[in-house]
Amino acid sequence: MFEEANQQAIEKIKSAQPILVDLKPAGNVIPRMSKNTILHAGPPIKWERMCGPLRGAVYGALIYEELAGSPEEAEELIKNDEILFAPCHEHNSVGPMAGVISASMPVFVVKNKEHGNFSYSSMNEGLGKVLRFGAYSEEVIQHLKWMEMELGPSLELTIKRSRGINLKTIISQALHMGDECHNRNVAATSLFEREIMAHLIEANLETSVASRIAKFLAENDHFFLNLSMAACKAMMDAAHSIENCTVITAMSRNGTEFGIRVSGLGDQWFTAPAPTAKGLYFPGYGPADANPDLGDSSITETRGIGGFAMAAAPAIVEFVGGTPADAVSYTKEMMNITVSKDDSFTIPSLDFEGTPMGIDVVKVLNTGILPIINTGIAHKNSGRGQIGAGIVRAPMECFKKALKALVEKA
Amino acid sequence: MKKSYLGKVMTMSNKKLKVKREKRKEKRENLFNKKLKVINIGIETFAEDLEKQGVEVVHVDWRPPAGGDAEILKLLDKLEEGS
Repeated sequence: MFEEANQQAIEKIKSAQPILVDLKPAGNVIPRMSKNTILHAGPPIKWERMCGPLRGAVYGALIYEELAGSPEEAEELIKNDEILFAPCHEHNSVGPMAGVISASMPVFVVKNKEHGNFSYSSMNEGLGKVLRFGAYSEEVIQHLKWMEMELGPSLELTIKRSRGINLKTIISQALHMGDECHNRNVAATSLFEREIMAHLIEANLETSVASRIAKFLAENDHFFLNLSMAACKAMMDAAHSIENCTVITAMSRNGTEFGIRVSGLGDQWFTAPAPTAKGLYFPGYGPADANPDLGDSSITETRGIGGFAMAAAPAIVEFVGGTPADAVSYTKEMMNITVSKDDSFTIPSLDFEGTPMGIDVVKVLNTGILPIINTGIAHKNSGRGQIGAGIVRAPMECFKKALKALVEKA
Repeated sequence: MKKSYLGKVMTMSNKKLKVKREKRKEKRENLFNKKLKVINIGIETFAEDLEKQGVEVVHVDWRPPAGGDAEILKLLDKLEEGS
């Protein structure tokens, strides 16, 4: 019964074809999105329990939307129940770190050409002071406005001229070039730029505009991360809600709780306190400054890349810690808790073996092996930004809760 | 000398007992006087400590299902029965 359902999920994930088809303001395309809706990473959470970086990003989004002029005004709106909070995942969307998406923000529109479902993700803002790490100063808001007024419309034209960009092909190639497409996106971003450059030029933008955009993309190694996430979301949503299926279709964190969703258990979240990553810190910071794990970016591991494909990205250990041998071990270890191996995503150094795909709740519990995630580490206070990167394991408690629900349903 | 073993009374002469004791001693000496080859199951730090001392170790990554949680093990069985 479970095996058949799990195989069905694997077929859906394998056959999915995520294509970048558009870029539009979130309010125009994301289902059930209104001017006062704020989407966030991870499972549902009330304002009172939100962590520092998430609160900072919410302040920033409300100031950016001109619904509030200051954090105090933003809190007033929230306390008067004028803001609707919801997880990105419940709106077919994903966002890294705080994952905050508001109505005016341009979002990538990805269509799974094979199954017809759509997914959405915010655009990557670059490094430094950015909303996703909870910064909300004037320069952060101005940068978001630039993304809305110049970058968004220009890339929208570019994407339309391209008639759709196959993201699965880019991920597949990038894995052969040393990326794992979660914490390392150098190759994927370059491949994406190569794909769009001619269309960007043909879009007849002012030279200064085209130049600013080309420069922004060239300076941001992580630009492809949000596209990788949207692609993975489109592929995993295709396998969601299959009766009796024990495959995990989402793993995500809001900085307070870690949550998973299981295909056969519909839209329920199974949560546990979010763990803190072990890794390398930027100079001047240490574990005491770290916020517990945060972001929807673990949709990449849910799909079988990121930490699951670390063997393809030995250089990433300089960023997250460990050795290249550890990277290989992580990938091999994950093969014990997945239903299948990928045909499209392969690892040259492992004789082109497919990446482990389709995390099975039952296998996680039977083996005691917890999914591994490559992650960024945010400062626990809003506005401070990224302080390191590392590795984290999904908490066992989520899987135990999901198993109880599976048994009750069986 | 008499020794109780599985409900039967067995008798062993002092001579036989001495031979057995010597064999055990020989085995012990063999173990500690030749190069150790260790298979470590479970806790990796044990293997790491031996490696640091130059001992050849093969580590087997194993942990009890569900971290040894009896309730979860029962649920896993239940799910398996129902499938």
